[in-house]
Amino acid sequence: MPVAIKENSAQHWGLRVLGVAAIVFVAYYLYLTAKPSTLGSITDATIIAIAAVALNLLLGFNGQISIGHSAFAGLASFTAGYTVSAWDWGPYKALLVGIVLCFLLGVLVGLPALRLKGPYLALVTLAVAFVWPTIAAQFLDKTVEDTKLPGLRLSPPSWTGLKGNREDRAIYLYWLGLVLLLIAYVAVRNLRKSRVGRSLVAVRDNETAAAVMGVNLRVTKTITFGISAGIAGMAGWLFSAKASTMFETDFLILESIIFLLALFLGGAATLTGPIVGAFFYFFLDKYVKDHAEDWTFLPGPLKSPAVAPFLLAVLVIAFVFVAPFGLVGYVKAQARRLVVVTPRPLRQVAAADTTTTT
Amino acid sequence: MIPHGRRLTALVTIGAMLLVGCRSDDKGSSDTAAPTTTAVSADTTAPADTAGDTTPDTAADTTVAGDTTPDTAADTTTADTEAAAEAWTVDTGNCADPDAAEAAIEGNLVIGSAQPLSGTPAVAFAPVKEGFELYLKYANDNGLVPGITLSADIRDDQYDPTQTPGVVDSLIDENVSIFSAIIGSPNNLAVRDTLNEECIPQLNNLTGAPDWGNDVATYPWTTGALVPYNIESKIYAKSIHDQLGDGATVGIFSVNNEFGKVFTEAFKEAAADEGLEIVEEQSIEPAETTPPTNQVNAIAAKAPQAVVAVPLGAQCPTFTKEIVNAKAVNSGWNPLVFQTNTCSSRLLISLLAGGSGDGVFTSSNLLDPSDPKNADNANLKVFMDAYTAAGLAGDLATTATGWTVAESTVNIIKAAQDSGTLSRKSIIEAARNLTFTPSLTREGVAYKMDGEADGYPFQSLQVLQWNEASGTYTEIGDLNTTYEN
Repeated sequence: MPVAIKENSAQHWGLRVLGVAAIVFVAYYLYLTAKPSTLGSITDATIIAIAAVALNLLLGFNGQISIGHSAFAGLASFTAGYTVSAWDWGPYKALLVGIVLCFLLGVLVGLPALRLKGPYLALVTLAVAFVWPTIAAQFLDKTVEDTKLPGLRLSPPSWTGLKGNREDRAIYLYWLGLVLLLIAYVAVRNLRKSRVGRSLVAVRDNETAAAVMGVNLRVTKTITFGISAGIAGMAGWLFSAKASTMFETDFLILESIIFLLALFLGGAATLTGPIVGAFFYFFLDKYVKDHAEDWTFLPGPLKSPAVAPFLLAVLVIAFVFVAPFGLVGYVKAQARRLVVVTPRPLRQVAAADTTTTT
Repeated sequence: MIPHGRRLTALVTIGAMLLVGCRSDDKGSSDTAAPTTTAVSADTTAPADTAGDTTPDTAADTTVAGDTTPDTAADTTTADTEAAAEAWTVDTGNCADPDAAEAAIEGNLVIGSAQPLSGTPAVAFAPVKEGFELYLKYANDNGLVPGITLSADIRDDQYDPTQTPGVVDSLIDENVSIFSAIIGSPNNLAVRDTLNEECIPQLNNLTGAPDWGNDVATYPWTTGALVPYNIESKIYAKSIHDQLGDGATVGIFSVNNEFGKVFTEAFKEAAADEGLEIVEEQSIEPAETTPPTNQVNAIAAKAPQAVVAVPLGAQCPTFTKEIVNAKAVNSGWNPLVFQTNTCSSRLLISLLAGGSGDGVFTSSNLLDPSDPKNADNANLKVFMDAYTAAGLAGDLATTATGWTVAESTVNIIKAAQDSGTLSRKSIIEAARNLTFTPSLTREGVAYKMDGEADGYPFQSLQVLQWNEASGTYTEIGDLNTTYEN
């Protein structure tokens, strides 16, 4: 029999604090011990994680699909690359402006979402993802007059006490990435837990019912699209902060697919799912690529480094069978055998509540 | 409802963040270490760029045969560092760790690289790694660098420049001594700043972008392995003038990326010098897969005497097919067709072209291992024996490219060892002061660099013409050495 814990009881808080402490410990431990390349890999995974968190808000909680998030990330990365190199902007100002630009573009792309659903909306966002590299190429050609854009290659500010070498840059970007991820997480978490968040989920589950209950569908949907795009912009900026050079091919449609994959591997509509999924995907992919060559036990044509993407695909498909609700969903299901958190009773139980809750 | 207190706190926080964001402006670019952009840069796509460049072909080059015996094949590569007084030296003062740059390398020397080992481009590139490792084994077996065991740690970046920094970072952490033969212009650009800061040699980049030799002062630790595209195009302009004379008309068909642009600009420059008249220019997007019917028809409408084409990968055979179609409907139009040597592999000029590649001109500086006329070449025999013994099956010319680039790397290391202490510093200095003759290059071609005066190891090309019936290339004129300095 699983142990029952009341929500917000001392034990529940204890578990929460323990979880946060474990994460902080791991993050700090890695900072102390990991090599620059490992920290760099974590930053790369963080880029995917932030974008997946953004996608989770839109798809997981609001039910709107987007295959265009690579374009938003690309827009923010190019905005940063160009404004910093050509206009001498500060990198953090470029971050804020990039987020605002992505928000506006997100709202614009979100407008068709008022009429379209499911595969049709996917097609609209697919077009955005398709068009981005062409726009980026034209921008490079006409405005930058080069085939590449310098990345920010961010050095730590002096107050950190870090120097501008490879090791210290990796440390700075590691913390910067984690802070951005935390901001994205907290933003989505608070949104989800607020009245707005409940209306998001209501829209996802039943639009008509949501509208009847007084949710403004237009505003909710377009603003959610905008916020999600803005968060994806943070991911794009982080990419440019790490990069040495940027190309129009950096954010192709494949990146959008990776964001989606990370989201579903971790567990859509869970707060930590996209983060777990992004790290899981990134390091699984890296592991397979690094080791495919050594797996000489594989038969025939599989005994080649070229087998890496195939193995990754097989592992992902196998994983989806084992854990259809993602890693977080799977862990939660397993944990429920041991511990069950019972919700706290509602403070005011109105008679009508039993019929209208969704 | 959110309490007023909290709301106020939130507003103050947002305001503070905005202020911080705007204040960071003051620091301007001091916060960033944006790399210096160079005037010309690399092609951003297509595996075939480098693959093609690396696919040497020849026809009747039997003169080299018998020059050397297999055992002395490596000995013919005479490492020759310049006199110490004149030799170019690198300043390690700005290195992240100057001591590491000058530390003696003993025992094992690991050469790191990032190449596409999986994904679509891997199909064309995989043999480069095999050839590279094959030569290192040959060098170790024959003790070419005494006291040093050479090995390669080549990892997969899937030809994706966003993955190259991760691969290179890991290899740095695992203490590889140098990098060599990283494939792809964007991929090399993505790690150039880091490797120059760390003062780790980034040798023999397998791309023909002019970037690797035109700014030695800023990027002393980076060198290329192929003839730059801009030199290739100039060599074609001269060949057209030689064959057609003054005032010959030319149509240009090029891919719309850096590769195509660098190539076309250099060709126009040379065309003006040679007195050629460019009558039509057409382009194709890098990702376009449909045949360039309209572009070729537009060129055919002007009926130029020669067509210079810079397509990408699979666009090469579709282009030559369209030329054949256009010739069929425009009777009497029979131009000389020049195609960049990125299109010169057998796959692109023959297998996929369905005969349309017959008579097309291109270029190379390496011997063609598939040409039966080279079968007696002693150096090629060494390569072929190693290839057969290792049970390899990849494309011969591409494997030979891997072999040649490894040979250059090993000769650089040997020269560095001969100069005194073997270190990263002495390796890059050897690379930039070295003259030697690789075993699989055509006669007259040599690796030659001279500090800042000459930043490109190879600048000579032989113009070739494909003969579909015999499946070989015929040499047109002599090896063009105009651009050697």
